[in-house]
Amino acid sequence: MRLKKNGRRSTRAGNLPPQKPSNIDITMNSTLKDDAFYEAFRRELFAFADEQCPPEVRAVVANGGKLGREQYSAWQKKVFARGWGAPSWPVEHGGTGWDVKQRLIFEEVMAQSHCPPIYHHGIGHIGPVIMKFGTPAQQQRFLPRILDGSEWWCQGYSEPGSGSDLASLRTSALRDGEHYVINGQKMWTSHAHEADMMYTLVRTAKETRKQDGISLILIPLDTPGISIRPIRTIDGWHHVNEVFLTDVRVHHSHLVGEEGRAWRYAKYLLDRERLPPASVSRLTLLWQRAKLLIDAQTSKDANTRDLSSLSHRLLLIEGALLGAREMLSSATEALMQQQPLGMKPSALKLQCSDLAQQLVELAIDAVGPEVATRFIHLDGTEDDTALWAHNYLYFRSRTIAGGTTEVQRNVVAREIFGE
Amino acid sequence: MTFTTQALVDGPVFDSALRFAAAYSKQQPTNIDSIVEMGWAATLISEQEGGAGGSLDDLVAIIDGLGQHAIALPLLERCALIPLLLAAIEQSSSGRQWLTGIADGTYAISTLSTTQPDLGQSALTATRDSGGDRFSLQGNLQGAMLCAHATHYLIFAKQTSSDEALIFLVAAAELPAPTKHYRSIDGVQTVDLTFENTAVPNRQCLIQGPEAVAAITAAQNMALLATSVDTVSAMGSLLEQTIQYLKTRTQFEVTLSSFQALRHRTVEMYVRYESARGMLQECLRHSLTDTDQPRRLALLKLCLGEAARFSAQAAIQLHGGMGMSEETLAARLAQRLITNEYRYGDRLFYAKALRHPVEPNA
Repeated sequence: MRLKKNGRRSTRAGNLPPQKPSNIDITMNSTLKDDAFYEAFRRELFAFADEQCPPEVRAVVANGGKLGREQYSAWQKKVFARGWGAPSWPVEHGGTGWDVKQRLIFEEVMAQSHCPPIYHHGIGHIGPVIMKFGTPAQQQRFLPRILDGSEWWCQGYSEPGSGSDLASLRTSALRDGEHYVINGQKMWTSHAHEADMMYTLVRTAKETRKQDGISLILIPLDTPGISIRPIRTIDGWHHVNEVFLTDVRVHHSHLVGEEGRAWRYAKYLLDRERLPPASVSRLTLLWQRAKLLIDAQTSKDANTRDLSSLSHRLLLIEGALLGAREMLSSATEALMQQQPLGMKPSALKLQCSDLAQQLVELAIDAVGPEVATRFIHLDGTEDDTALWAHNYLYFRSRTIAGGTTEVQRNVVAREIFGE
Repeated sequence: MTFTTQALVDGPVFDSALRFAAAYSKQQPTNIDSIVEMGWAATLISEQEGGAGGSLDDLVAIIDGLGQHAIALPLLERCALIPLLLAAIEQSSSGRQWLTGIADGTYAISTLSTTQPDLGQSALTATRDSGGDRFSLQGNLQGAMLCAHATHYLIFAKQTSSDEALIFLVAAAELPAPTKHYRSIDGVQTVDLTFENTAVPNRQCLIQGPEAVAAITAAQNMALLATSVDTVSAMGSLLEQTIQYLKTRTQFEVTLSSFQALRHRTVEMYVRYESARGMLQECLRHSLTDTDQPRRLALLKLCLGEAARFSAQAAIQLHGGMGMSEETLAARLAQRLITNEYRYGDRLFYAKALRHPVEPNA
């Protein structure tokens, strides 16, 4: 039998470029451009991050602290000015036109340089939805301000009683002449207290199938009838809010796509929500932080506590992160090729949210007992112990927000069982 | 559309391996040497030496195809390690004639499959006799897998006086008789071999010293990579088998796949499989000679050990009583996964190696 010299490596990512022939002494890598190109690109990114990202912001990111709109927005303006405001968008809408490898390198370098992540609600979520389903007028009105960081968005999806079962939402929008009149309540709305706009799922009709009759409306948050109340969460930081809408009048030109068809748009968006390109790079940084901590504590506590199991678990997470990176790369390629993503985003979210929680759990074990008793510093300061406690508690939401782990498992199960 | 495993390397090589595996899933032919019959022995041997001139991709495709049915052939030992070791030996002495002999079917050379990360090197010592014309081998190889059709074996040892690595070529008939016979978890015949002053002429020491160390190190890396391919392949197949079982088996008048608890555990198997596959692909992207590849492979072996054990245990549980029966492919795949965890060093060995790396010049 004559063997074929080189098989076709299956990547599941669809139409990947041809791969370099391989044998046992050759690196089996797919190359889009040559290595020198990507190395130069990487150097350019590092130089940009070093020059443009303020040290005080990088310190917050490096230590797992909390960023607000001010820092996010300032960073987005700088990235936009350099032409990199939307790595994932097509060139015609102001995107970069980068290939998958460039996108991943961008995320890696920005993470390694401790720069803020690209703020997801605008660039990652509603921007692509407006591009695909919005009118030209909406694209002209909203996309440039998302790109340059001047307009800030939040997501009005969940409601009391409509979290995982999002399609049961009850916030209503009734057409009244040129306007929709919106009444209801949104919940768990991240960053609503500092946003200008809320992309909002509302019910415009009651249909037999609850997924029908839902519409997507873009609501300016300074519209009369809106009040925002913070929700105090266990992590001690202010992220999420309740948003009350009472007779809020929004012009019909703010409806995205067709009335009553928004479940389709929401799913399109959710796929993107579950596939944050930055997540694996940021997790890798978190892993590094945890490793430094565990190594330091292992020496410090050598005579009192056994931390060897933490180091073992850290190795397992390191390996899993390599796997997650490959999963992300494959899914990102599919996304850019406009291929159906299927269960990939859900599988990746399941994996990454679990790894994130494992890491912060390792960290609080390493910190030791004071993590429980020195949490909120009443003088307003924060130290590493407090930040790990914040991170640990905040990361409990990783398996809840954006679709709970249980819902993700149902999604994947439907796909792999075909029923 | 239900989940189906995708080949790591698509193509006719994978297809023929998978067809073979499906045909002999339960019982392999004992009267013929399947590795030779299928042309796999010469995969990595160059065309100059009469081989197929195939690539690592081809080997991955074969292991992947066989792995989906838990076929236990000494493919890794004969088709991966031997060509790699003999190619190294060729550069310093007489490896070429042996490679040519494998390619034309004259010889069937294997290593002894082992649970030792160093290919059994530390279990055997070699002492040069006072006359200086032969070595005397001493030591025990426990639970080693013999190859039914082997004419020769490469044996690894350390020289008593200098601690230098040595590689011997020993005719199968010259091996000591096994002191004990076993069956491995995945159904393979294994033995204990005790070398008591087993004499081996000098000319059968094919390579020694730094060249031998380099060859053995490369072979260790290859062993980790190939074992991992087999593991990922078996994990994918096991997931497929489990899904099919849950979709067809009825309890309480509904299919098992309608129970959320069982679906969620299957999804966990899926996520672990995708993660394992991703880790493997990351390793396949790099050359075996890449500086970071040994660490990458050690991490892979550690993580796959955990993931594969999870998959094996979950699949047995999800199959209920059927998961305990060797009649089912799922059970055999689970046995294979558990065995693979211990081949060429268990996960705890690699955990220690990763946490306490030895400097190359230490």
